[in-house]
Amino acid sequence: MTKGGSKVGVIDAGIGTWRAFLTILDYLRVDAEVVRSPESIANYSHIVLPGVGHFTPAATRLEEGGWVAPLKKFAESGKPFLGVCLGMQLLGTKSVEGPGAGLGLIDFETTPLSSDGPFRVPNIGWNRLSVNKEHHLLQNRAQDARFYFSHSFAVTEGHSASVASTSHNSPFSSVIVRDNVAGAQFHPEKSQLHGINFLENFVSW
Amino acid sequence: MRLTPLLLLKGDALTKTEGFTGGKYVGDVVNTARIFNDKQADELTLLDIEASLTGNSPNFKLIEEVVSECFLPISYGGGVRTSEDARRLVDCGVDKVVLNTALISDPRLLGEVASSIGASSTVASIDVMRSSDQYKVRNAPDSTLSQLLRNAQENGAGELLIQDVIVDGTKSGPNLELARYILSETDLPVIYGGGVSSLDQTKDLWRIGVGAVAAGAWFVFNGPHDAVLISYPTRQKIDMAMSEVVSL
Repeated sequence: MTKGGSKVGVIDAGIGTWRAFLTILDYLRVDAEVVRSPESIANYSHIVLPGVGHFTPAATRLEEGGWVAPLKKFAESGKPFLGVCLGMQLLGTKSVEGPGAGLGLIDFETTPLSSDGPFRVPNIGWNRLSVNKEHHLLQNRAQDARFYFSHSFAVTEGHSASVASTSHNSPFSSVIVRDNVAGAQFHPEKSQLHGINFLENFVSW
Repeated sequence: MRLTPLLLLKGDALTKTEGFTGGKYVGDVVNTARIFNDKQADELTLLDIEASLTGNSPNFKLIEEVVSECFLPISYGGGVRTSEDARRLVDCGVDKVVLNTALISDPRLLGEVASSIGASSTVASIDVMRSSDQYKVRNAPDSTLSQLLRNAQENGAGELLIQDVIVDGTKSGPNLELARYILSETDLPVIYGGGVSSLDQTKDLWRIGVGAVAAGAWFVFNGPHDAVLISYPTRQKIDMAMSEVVSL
């Protein structure tokens, strides 16, 4: 059953967990599939790039798996593209975490979370968003909306493409959007009703 | 500040221990996970307490079923012996892999797992008991607690799960002294479990800097005869507790 003809592809490039996305999208009655071949990316109306782990091996896997050019082409097509957690960081140019090139779809560099304060690193747990610019992805969110984060690196707040920030000793960008390319530092697939709402917004984007 | 049900798996059923021994039947793990999902628990921690003894691998099929019931983060531990096990768990949808026995039996594994699936997905779990005047680690007569804490941090763990063996299952209150000691010996986020049975006790732990409070008996037993009943505080009560901690 499809919602308005969307077909969401969730990338499995060996760098992140696609399974929970399929579960949630299935729950939302959205036509969604795991995508294992870069050539087929163009067939989808929306693409999700999940990512968990270390920047360098992930960047290498994207390169070696032939994902880089097809993902860039998808981004150029104007169709909605969502990078999650490490997937968001891979939308940028590079990361202090290690060598390797991101997709360069948004011009930012990923840096370590600040440990200068009462909060320990990694940032593992539920946090709120401070929305700087209203965006379709963030509409209809609950007053007390909270999202699950699990990371040691992030994009420093202040980037022009950042639409929401979250604080962990210092603020970082929790949602970043440039045209049709979006990144979420949190895990919408693990954020219960708030995450479900976010993904519903992504599918209707 | 998180509050996580800590569920113990024996075979394909949930059990609850006291002092890390025995095992009272709690129920079906998939149903129970579904209930915690409905109650919007912060995350679920599922530990297979037999796997390292029997030599079995994690029950991937069962774990996948549990994950499919939940739109919240799930940590799994028990029988993880290789980084392929860890990777496979992550592919099943597990968010954090917990290593306990392997910290002692195969010290290199922690680093391998953390490199493979990321530090923020890797939890080092240590069971502690007080013996005369010092802390000892269960099943590790040759390692000290501070050695293991240091190893965990140096080898890339993202979080520590510390359980107090003696108050396990007793609901008699947490060992705040142990929690304070751990917090002072590590920079990593700490999950504390053992004896926690109320939001007031949870606040005490959050107040001193514990990142996540884990509880078992509190959420699976009810009443003076410990009848099995799955419970979890309402979101409202938890939010109130959190704001009380922050406002101090």
